[in-house]
Amino acid sequence: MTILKYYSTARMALREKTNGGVAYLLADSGVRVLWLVPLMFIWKTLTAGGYEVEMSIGQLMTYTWVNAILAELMVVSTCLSTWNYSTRSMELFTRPMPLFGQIIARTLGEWTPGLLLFSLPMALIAPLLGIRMVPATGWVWLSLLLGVSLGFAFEFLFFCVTVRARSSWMSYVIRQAVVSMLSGTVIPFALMPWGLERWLQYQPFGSMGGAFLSLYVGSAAPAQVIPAQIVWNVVIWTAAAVWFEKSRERMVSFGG
Amino acid sequence: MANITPKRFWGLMKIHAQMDLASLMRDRAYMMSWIAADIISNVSSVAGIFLLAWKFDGIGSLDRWEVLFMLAYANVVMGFLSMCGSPNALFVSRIIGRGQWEHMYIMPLPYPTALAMGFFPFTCSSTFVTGAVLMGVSLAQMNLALPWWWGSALVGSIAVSMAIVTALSYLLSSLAFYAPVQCEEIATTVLSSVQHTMSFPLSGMPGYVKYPLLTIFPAGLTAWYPTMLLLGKTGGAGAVYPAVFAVLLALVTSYVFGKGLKYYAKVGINRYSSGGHRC
Repeated sequence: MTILKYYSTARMALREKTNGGVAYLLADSGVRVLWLVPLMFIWKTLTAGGYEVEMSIGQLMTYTWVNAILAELMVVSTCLSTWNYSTRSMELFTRPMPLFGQIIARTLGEWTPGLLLFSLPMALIAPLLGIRMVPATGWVWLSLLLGVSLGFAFEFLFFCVTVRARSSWMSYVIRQAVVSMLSGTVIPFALMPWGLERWLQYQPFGSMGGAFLSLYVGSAAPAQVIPAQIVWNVVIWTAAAVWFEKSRERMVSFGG
Repeated sequence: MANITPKRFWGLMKIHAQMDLASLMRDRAYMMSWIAADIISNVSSVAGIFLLAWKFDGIGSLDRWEVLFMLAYANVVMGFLSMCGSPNALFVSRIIGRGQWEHMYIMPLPYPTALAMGFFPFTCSSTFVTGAVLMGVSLAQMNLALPWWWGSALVGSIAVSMAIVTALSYLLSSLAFYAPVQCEEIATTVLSSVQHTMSFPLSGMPGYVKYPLLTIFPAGLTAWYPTMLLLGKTGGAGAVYPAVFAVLLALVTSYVFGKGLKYYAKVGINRYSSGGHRC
């Protein structure tokens, strides 16, 4: 049964994530709240200052809240980012399963505890804090799927960079910083000066979490967002598959 | 714990610096691409908040160049710490949690000197350099008439901020003595949280957000508050608060870490299998 082995991989990753106890997840949840609160108050400070802002305070709050609770899905980060550094990526090649499928199944398993124990409760308490959790359009779910898919494609592409550059940290560091800036998940493109939003929303990283979030709060139209996401999925997945085939034989991994 | 003379200490630092320079020179193309990646990463980390400040002509009571100064200050603090503790000296929970502290038992050096193995003044300097350049740009744009003692105040303030970040990392890393697997990466969590939170200008935020960030989780004392002091936006008795806080935090950390170390000396941490794998 093909699907069962992927299910088992996901289950294994889930158990690995929680076998230290649920307390093990608290640090990550605490960090996310710590990142969330000051940013929400920056929006309040800016809007209270009487400036003309392209998004309402309600939209900004929802944007930041949804980004915090779905952080893993907004900018996909898999074990590929660090495993090449610690030799564990070798394990992936010894298992009788396609690498892409393994990584995706594993990552879905890793996401599950956080989604159940952090994201779900945070989504439920949001209305009590006056944060609107109903998406502005039904297209958000397709956009989320396309954004997550693109995130995985970038992971494979960056893995090839780590193989070619002989360093996982270099690509990890640059990926974390550039993607968080260019994905528009932390600061919405609509708030960028000099008309940068027109350029930023059509670059490939802009079709990840930022595209979904702007649809979610209604600051962008589906006709603007979905076609760009489809195009970038085709382009980046093709590039990732081709480059991965050319790079896999060059992989060197020597422990960390 | 062995004693060490200042001459021997600086001699060791020189050896670390030479090894770091050698690694830079051995494969220059590789190291230059590494440094370039680091600079891109640093500029990206500053860009978001600065672009917001640019668009809204500042955030709270700080104008756009003052916000840039704050972001630059944060980069200088984290950059200097990165140069002094990159491998794991700053991320000490990894050394503790992996059961590697006893590696230092056989070294004829005091622990602080042994931990200074993480001195990388060349390959880990990009964050510091980015911060210093941005600080220069912001100061030039602000056109301030700075008093003669301002440079010393800046250096002292950076030292205090570094002490707070280091003490916070070591304080929470002490948990790794008791829960090595769960807390192995707690220093990473602490430092990434500080690095992220220190980039927020707290001006204009309500007290229930601002004060916890100046006391319970003092990220506000590592960039925003020093910026307010250095730019003369606050002062009086508050000027000594970061230094007093740093001393108190260091004392608490020293006590808690010492207790953890005693516990570790009794029970140890064995994370390695006979095959050399860490479990």
